[in-house]
Amino acid sequence: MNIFRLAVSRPIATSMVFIAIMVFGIYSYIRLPVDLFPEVDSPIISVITSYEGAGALEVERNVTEHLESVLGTTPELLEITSTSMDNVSVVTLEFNGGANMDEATNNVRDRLGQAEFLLPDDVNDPILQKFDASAIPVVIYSVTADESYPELEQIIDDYIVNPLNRISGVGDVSVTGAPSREVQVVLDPERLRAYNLDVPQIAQALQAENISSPAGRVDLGTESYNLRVNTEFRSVDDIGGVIVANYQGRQVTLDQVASIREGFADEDAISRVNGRQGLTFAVQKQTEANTVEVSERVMAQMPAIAESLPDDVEMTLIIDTSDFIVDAINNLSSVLFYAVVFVVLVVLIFLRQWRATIVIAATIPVSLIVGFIYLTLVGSTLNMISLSSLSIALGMVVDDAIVVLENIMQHIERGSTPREAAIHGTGEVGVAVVATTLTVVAVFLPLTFLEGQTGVWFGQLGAIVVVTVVTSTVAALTLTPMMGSLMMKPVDEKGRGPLKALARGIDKGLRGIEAVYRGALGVAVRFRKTTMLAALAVFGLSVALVPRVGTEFMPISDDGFVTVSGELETSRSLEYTSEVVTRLEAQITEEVPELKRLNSTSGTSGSMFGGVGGGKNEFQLRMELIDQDDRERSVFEVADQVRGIMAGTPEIVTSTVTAGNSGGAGSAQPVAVEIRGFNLEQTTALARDLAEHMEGIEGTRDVNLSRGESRPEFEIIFDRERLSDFGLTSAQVAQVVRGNIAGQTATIFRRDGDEYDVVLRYAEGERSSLEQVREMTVNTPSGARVRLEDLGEIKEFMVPPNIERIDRERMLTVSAGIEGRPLNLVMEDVREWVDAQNLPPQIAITYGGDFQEQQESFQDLFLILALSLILVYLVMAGQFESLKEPFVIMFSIPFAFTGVILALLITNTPLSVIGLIGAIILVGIVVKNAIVLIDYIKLLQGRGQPIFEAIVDGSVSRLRPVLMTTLTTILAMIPLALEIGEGAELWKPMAISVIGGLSFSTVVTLIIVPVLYGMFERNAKTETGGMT
Amino acid sequence: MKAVMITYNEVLSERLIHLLDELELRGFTRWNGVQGRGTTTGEPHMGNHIWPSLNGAMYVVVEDEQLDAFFDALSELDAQGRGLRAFVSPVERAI
Repeated sequence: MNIFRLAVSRPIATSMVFIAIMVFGIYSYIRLPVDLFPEVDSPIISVITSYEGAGALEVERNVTEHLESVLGTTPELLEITSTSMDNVSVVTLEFNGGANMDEATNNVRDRLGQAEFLLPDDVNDPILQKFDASAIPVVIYSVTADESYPELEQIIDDYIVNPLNRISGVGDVSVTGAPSREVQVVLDPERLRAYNLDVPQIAQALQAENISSPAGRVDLGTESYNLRVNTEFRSVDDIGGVIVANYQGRQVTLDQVASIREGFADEDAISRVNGRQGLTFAVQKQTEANTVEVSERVMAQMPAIAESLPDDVEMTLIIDTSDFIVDAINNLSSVLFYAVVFVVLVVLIFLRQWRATIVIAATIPVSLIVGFIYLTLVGSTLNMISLSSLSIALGMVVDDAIVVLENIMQHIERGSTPREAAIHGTGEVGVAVVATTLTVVAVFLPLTFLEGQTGVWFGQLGAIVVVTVVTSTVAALTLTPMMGSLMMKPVDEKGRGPLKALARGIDKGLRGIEAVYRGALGVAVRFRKTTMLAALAVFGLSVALVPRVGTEFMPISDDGFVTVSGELETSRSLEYTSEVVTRLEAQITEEVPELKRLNSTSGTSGSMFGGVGGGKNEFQLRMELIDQDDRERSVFEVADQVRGIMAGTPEIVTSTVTAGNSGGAGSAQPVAVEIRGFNLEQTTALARDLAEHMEGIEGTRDVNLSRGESRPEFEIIFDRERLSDFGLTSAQVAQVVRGNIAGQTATIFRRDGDEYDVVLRYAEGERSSLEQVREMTVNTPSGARVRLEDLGEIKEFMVPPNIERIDRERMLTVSAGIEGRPLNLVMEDVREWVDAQNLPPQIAITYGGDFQEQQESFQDLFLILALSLILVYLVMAGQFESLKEPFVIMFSIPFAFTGVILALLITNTPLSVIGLIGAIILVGIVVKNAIVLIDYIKLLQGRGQPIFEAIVDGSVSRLRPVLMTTLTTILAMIPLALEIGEGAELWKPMAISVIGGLSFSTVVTLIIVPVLYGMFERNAKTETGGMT
Repeated sequence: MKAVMITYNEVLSERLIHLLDELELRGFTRWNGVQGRGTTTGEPHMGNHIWPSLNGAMYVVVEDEQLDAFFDALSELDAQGRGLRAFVSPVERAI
């Protein structure tokens, strides 16, 4: 017994099955966590090693190179890049897309263990950092204060961090930018000399006097006691009392040679919010917690916390990730809602019956809800991708039900009882419905094989569409005939009233369209060759237009954020940078009316999410604009204005202004040319030339060199003979000088559970000129004192502030943003220049950035496209038991691409990865129409109609369902194409591709496919509906 | 006794049983889901993709005096246009 016969004869059982699915689906939906993106296991591990006081070159030589050589053998490694800069080495390992990251992390850790003995002694242990999506802060606040600023860290700890940590779901609250407290021992060089002391000696004395150690047990009678030696400092004054030397029989205490005070370590960065200096704290959620809920709980707690703070302490919300999520989810929900409304309207107009509309609409919740069940089963979340996927699937889930119900209604109109019509109507189109679904599956299933960034985006899309569309087919073959048999009745066109008149009018209009189509098809079928030639000409013309379509990686959306990272002249101090930034802030606040919030960090180029290092001459500004609806200018126009402000500030050497985001994908600059070569001067010179040329290329913005301006550095060059004469080694002298200037952490002072470094250092006034450095003295083993200038000389060198490497080769990147011109055209110009250069053999040039990503993704996607085409053919050949018919049907595909090209050109949209996905999806959607046509033509042939009559009759009779399914798919995409709100806009190019391709191909399919079928099958014998 | 062989569009199944009940005819033999097509214009009922509908067949043996009423009722049902054929033949012996 057929499945639809069974469903019709057992309506209650059928209903129960679907109700069970709904119940399970709703249960899943309630339990689904909400998040912005699907969880990504990022294939990147960074190894960060700090080497205080070392310049970029030394870091490269002593740290980075060793790490690279050890880590270079890690299995599954794809690429190893590194940046060496002052004090820090960052080695970044990128693994193959499918690599097991837990294993990779262990492998890296093992190798770091081997590397340890290769690294210099005073290098800190390397830190492993993995990108973890759940580590993205839920909310970030800034805290500013006036008179309470010195105690701010303590205040934040007590009043903010602790209460927040108690909230369930909060994983960690981290404070950044807090000045760290230390005990400073400021040494007086004169007195040190007088007592013949130097920094290492004092450090030793302090260490020796600040101990706590167990001394064993003492038994007194029957009792046993622990004995302990404890000379730990109890107060800062204790430190001053430490005896550091015996000089001519007199005891010298520390406070005789130094002043001791509590203070702040030198600041590396100054962060300000809306012009006031402050700290930021970020709340992270526990991995499995729901971002939105955690954010809500934190927000609920905030007023009480604000109340408890001192009056001058102010908290400002900088980022609330849940805002984006809630907005995006709301927007996508409304996109879904509009899609449902459109779809229902189309069905209502075409079928003119409330009952029919209800029957078809019933498949929507059933199919979508299975999407939720799928998400729960695979442990995913309700996110932007899954919701968008649902709204993309929506247009397709009603298709099968439409085809089935439309046929049922035709049977009813011809006089069958609803029950009879349900069985027969479903039976006639059942094969076509299954075939169309299989082709859709053939297209979407390969998407789940994609890896990397594109895999994250489209894997879920593929899976959700497959699951929902298969469900919709099952529903169309069971639920639809069952409901149809119970609910449908002949259309009563005779009644009165405006609604009936409207229904009659619509029907008349549809009959008119059918008549026109019948006429046109009749002509086309008669002049088959002419028709085909005309079609081929149109296709050829569109192919000729291909070079005019620009390409890009991911579309950029207006999310209301503008970020500036900039650099002043190298060797500028933090105070100077901060001063310039303050002026910039004031200027921006005044000149940009759309500004909602502005925060800045001076002294770092890193991002809020844990950037590393950066010079004191670097800064970052982050602007948040008011809501999109409340402003007239787009974020890109504002960015242009900000660029003007940057260009008008003479102190700024380079700056990059980024506007909008590409939905979390690809933070790289669109254009990135990598110049590889060991010689720093040679590569820098080439990079300069290239940068200069790139600035002249139309459409480029913010051309930037990744290697900063070289800056002067002083180097002490020892005379080794002299050193040996005095019985000294370079290392000993270096330690003394380092202690004098950079400072030496002697020991740790504990108070109230907090630990403070005790740092020894010359007074600032004693270490601020070269003269004073030369005058510094070192104690020799013989007890004599020798001045630094007697041991060697100080020379000035120019060194780059950072050195980047890729695959263990030095590299620098010339990058640029683009605007107003497609990426591929800009890249062509860049390549032309590069190819014209006469490069020495030791320099190589490669292309990175979005361009590389795009190339790789496009390659993957074209493979997927080929795979889909093959699969679709296989499915249809199997379904129709014919090798020829699938070929005829697939003739509709090229015209879909014609439509895509035209739509992209008309809307001036570059072809991005998203647009290309649209084109792939089209393969599945457009053949559906052709399948429905051919299948019915074959059916009529089987019932004995002559071929051309069958072609015309069959095509005309399928016109309504074809138009309906096409319209529902197109209309479901319209909200996406119109960019309604955040989250939806990313899919715009895809919606444009699908709408363009589908409308064009449908018009063509309706004519070309029947004509072509006629050409191929003219003489063929078709099986009749004989005794099978 | 007369035997009535009825082939009919499957959708008439329930109505046919109802009809038997009304005429107080108890016995029947029925085959569901049989294939067939009419001699002249009748649409084939093949239960396949091209002709998805199926017929039913029923064999009813009635007393001679019951036949006319039964046959009239069947003609009436046929007049609804769903497709029904009935063939009457004598029953010579029965156990």
